[in-house]
Amino acid sequence: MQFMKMNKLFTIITIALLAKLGIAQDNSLTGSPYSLYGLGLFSETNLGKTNALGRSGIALQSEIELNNLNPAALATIQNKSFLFDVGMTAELDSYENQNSNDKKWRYSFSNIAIAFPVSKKAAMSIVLTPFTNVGYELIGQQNNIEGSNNNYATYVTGNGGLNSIKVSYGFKTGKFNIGAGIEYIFGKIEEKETVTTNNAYLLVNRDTYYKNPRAIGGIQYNLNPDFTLAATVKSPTSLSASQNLEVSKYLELTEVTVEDTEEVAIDNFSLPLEFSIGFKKTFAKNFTINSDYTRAQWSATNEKDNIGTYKDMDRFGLGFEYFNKQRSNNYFKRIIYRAGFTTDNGYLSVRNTNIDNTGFTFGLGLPLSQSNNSFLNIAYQYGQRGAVSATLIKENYHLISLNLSLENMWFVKRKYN
Amino acid sequence: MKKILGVYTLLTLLIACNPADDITLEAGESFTNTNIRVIQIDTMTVDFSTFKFDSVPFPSGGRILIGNYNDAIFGKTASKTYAEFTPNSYNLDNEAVFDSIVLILGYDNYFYNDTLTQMTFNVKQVSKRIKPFDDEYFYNTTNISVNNELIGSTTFTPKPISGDSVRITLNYNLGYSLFTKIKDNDITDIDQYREYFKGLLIESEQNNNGSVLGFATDYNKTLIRMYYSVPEDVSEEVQVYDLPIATDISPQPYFNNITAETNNTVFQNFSNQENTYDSDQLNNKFYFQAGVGIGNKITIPHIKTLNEIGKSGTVLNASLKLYIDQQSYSSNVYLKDSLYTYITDRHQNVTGLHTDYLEENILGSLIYDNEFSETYYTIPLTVFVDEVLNSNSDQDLAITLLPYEYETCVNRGVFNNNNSGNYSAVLQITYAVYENE
Repeated sequence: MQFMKMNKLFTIITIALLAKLGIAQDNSLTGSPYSLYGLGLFSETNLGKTNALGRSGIALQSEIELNNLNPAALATIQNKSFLFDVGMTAELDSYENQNSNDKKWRYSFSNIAIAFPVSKKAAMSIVLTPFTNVGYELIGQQNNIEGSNNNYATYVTGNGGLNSIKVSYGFKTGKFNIGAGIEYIFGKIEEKETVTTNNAYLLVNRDTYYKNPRAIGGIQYNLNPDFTLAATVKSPTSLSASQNLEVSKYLELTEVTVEDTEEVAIDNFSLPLEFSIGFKKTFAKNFTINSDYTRAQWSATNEKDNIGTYKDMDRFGLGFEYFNKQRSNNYFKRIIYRAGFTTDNGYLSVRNTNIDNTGFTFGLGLPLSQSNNSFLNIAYQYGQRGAVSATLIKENYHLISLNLSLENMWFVKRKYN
Repeated sequence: MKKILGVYTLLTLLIACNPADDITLEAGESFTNTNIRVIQIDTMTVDFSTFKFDSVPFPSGGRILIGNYNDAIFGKTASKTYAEFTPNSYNLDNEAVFDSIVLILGYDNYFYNDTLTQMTFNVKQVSKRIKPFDDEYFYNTTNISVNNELIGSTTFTPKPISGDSVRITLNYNLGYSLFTKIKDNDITDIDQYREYFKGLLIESEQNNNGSVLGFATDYNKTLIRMYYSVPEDVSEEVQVYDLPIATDISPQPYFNNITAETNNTVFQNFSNQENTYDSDQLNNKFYFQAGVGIGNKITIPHIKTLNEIGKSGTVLNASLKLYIDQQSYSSNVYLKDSLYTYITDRHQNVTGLHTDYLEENILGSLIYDNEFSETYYTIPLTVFVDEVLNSNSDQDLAITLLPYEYETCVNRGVFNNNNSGNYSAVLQITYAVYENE
């Protein structure tokens, strides 16, 4: 026995376990069951306006709002303008399998970002966003005890997720905007698994820590003021992982520590090479259409999961924006209207079924000031993930994001107050 | 700018505190393949053997055990007791008149075999002081030389539950002489006393198939009592002068000698404790006989192969089911409701009681299954298996099943090994692998 922890409070712990199950069933705890795989579910939201544009827009510029999809867009930040963006999301998820359905609300902060010019033709940004989100709870699964007709019950939960902090730099040269950045990805995923047989409990807690940077690069080519072509690339990287493993069991009314190890290096998790191409076209002065295509080469990462396998993912996004650029005293004429569509075929295949994802987006940019480009951006996305089958779950989600996108002018003294 | 940085810091903190979220859904069975495998194994080899302890040390506070009976399996089994009886003071009234001397043996309710048979207890005087050779322990094999002259004897029908005591009147002259020497101050301390009276051997006559009886050692239960009177006393009532067993000194001056005649039994060749006899050689049985010192040894030689099932795993349950040989017991030679598990080393020395994580004794429980008319013990071995799996030693740890107070009782048992048809011993293990290769 490595170490034994004596504890007579077995009954209390049992009650506590049952109480936790009860709470879990009553409370509105949310997340996607698909976050069980890999690093969790990749974050759906981004900064400001692109949430309403089908999550696309690498060819869009940062004239009035920070575009986090392409570092090259930093080149277009107006001189002396300081941009600040903070966002939160509310998500209503409804799940469905062949037998039942369930609904959950989830709220979270989605980003904090600042951007500022460093010269007449260059700017920098610092952006903190969630990178992945893990939140699942799978209860009461019965598995066969090998070598017998008896079953054991498992109870699996996952929490946590990874964050990203990204420092980017972009500059203008001729018709080109060029940008690059370093994105540092870090965070913790907690997984708890409980096995119950008719006379014993086994509890396995795994806290896995991931970290490492990756490089990003982007370019925008302005054929003319109305038409831009763009491309971005994210380097593949290997997130180094270490794990704290805590295993304990209850035997004969006693808690016994089976294993308690800290910071054991485990297999790295590889993130794929990802590249996007896109364009933006403005017509009739106030209408903008943009579209992106992204490919993430997951199959080259050789990542595996218990049931799912990783496949290359293709994503397509399309966005429309109406923005009356003429200054108007009519508030409604200053509102920006947006709509979009996004679809991807998923990077994960569970039992030969891809976990695809399709969403429609709508949004408004509500101006907050007449004197600068500060907006409250509201976006709504309706989408669905997965499929209803014997083993899979279809998940419909309503995602509302609120972004406060503020512009502050630096070093500009107003002549009149 | 300062304001913005302040807000930024605050929001960073808020993100860091973003509560983790869960969902609850009865997903399809294989939506997640749990990382944990649970396996039940009942084919693990278990080795059972029997041996004889060279000697069984007599424990402090042990009961007095006297009697004999004929055991069909273990041979004629007998126990006799050596005990020293000493007075608490050496003061007797000068006028006191000795009347009689009686040995009183107070029942402690223990018995083994048929108590309907009449028994005869004989008493002799020892000729050497009752004291261990090594000043530490008496053993069940220890003998002390005696004077062959019988100083007391009684024939009686044992009443170990309903009765109070067995009374044996001792030789008048011995009592008179001892009484007078104390009265006349010829004996004034323990050394002078021992010069004159060293103690008794109490044994049962072995000419019949009787029982083995247990007696308590409390000062008012088992003692030598001298009756006397003082003529000038107004009442002239009979008074008593008691010689109890001095249980407050160490080592306590009494012990049992317990033997079995093993001729024509499976144990007749058992000699050295180093030798163990596999159940295959003993009619697929293994045994214990308390008191006499027949012990058993249970090992699970390949248990560490469990560690090879996965990268990391742990035992969730292990239980040994041991059937009793149906012909081996009766209401006379009864089974104990529970058996203690002891840890035994490779020289078959018992190193201690096997306890759970709370230091509580691990007991095997007797189960009468009326439906299948089966009688068996279940022995929880989870903690034992856990300890073996986690020990770095390659040495086989073993357990020995014996009844409670095995040094001072004569209960015995006969178990089937794992090669006994429908009534074979089975070890059932539930093992969980939480990290696969």
